[in-house]
Amino acid sequence: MPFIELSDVSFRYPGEENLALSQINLLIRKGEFISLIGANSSGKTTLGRLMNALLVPTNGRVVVDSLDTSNQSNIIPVRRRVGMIFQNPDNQIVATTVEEEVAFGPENLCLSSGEIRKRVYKALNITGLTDYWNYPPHLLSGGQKQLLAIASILAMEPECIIFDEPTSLLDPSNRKIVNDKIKELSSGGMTVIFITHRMEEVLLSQRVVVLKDGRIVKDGKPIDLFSMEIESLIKFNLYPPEIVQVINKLRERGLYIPKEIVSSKDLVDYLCQ
Amino acid sequence: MSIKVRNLTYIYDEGFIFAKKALDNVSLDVFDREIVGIIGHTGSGKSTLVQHLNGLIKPKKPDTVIIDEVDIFNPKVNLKEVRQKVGLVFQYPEMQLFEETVEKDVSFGPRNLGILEEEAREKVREALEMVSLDYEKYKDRSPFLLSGGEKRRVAVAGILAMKPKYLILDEPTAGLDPWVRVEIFEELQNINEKGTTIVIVSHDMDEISKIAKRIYMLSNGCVVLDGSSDYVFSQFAVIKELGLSLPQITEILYMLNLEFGKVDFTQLDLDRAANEILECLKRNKKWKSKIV
Repeated sequence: MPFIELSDVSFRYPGEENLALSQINLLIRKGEFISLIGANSSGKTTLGRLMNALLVPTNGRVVVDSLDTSNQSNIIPVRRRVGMIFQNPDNQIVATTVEEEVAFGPENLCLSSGEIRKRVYKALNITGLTDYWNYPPHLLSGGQKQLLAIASILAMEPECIIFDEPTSLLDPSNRKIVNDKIKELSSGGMTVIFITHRMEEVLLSQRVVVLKDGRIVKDGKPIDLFSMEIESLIKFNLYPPEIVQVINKLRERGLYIPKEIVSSKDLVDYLCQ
Repeated sequence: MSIKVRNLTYIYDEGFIFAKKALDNVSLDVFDREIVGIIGHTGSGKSTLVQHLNGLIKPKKPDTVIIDEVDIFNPKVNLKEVRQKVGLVFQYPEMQLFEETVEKDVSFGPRNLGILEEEAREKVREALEMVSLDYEKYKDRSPFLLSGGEKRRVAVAGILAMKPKYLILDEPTAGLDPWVRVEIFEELQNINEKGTTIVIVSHDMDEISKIAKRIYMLSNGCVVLDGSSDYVFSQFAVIKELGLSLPQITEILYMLNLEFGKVDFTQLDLDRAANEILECLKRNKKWKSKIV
């Protein structure tokens, strides 16, 4: 049985003429690591928000762990199962110290103080923030703030986390820290939905769904995107990473380059053979 | 005419427990009509540095920040004039949009300078055109109902409407999708060609490499590398050590050079880079086995 199921889902924002999403059918299994990619206004954020009942579909059904999100009484149970991390951690940090921030969610679940303490330390431990427990969040780096947002969600013990462009504001070294942590959570069994506009990042996941103008235009293996023609990527409004452009230029010049090659290091290793 | 920074040091919360040296003896020049890149990872001091360039942060010592021969430390300097001359676009400038319509928002600056309605309208039209937004189509729209890329452009236009001589942008494309990024960089290039000097702050080497002719690289508040962009990109080891990513093409050419030698790894043009790779393979007899 799928963990999240979207059937014939359409969504229109109030007062807007056009549909933000139309005819979306998607099954996500428990433990899957799936990325959603598309250009600005392709509908990827809207799709993410439908999956934890921040939005409910205009038409069609979204079912999370057998709970239909259009049923008002299911909203809280759905959000407990599916946590969400946004682009800018500053927008979701509310407390004055790291420890209090992580405790905020479990406190609202009315857990015992022993249980809250246990969950806070577990979450800080997983995200590597234990040493920062008494820091005010504004003294953390961008990457650490995003890890703090993740810790706050983990303390709620969700089964699935949606990451909505969690690294687009981070520099490369912080981006790597956050992406490594997400990968680790996925290996630990968490269902992960990863929204991005960077093609390089879909390689973290097992499956990629491409959105264009509110519709799913491709659903497959991340590696398949990398072996596509530049023109087809552009048709999807995806921006081909430099490595894909270089490989294309080399192919145009008559070189054979296997489709498994997706990084600079792979390419150099192959060329040196 | 130029911006000159000499031995600038700045400490946040000086004298307190969380005191942090954000800038340590930084010197920098921005010459007339050039495009300068300032690059470094988060917390390297880039934003603190540019906030000095229009007096948002006042230098603590004389002769450290000099704009067109004027030392902004001097209490008699009219900072309003300095800020008109040096336009600063913050990170996420769209957060500062506040007016009901695009026209009102963009004209806020000129109107505050006491410019008449008619003239202000002309400046708004010009400023919007510089960022590829059609005046008639956008002037009456609410800035809050625009897409992310459009909002960013309106915010930049708000600064351009003040006709700054120097335009400083702090991470102008952060959080935008790659297509919009490419467009905004083209617009900046055009603005520069029309005579505005530009300083761009970024942590994205890929992006900076395509536009800036000269680059300063900051780490922990110090300038660790500076020079032409070709030179800066050739300092592969330093860049790697700082945890900044390089353009992928530079990385590929650099690794090939390590293996075979004689590869020009400063090449940033993709076609020329592909030719460079082919020639390297031919020279080293790694070519035939890979021909289709």
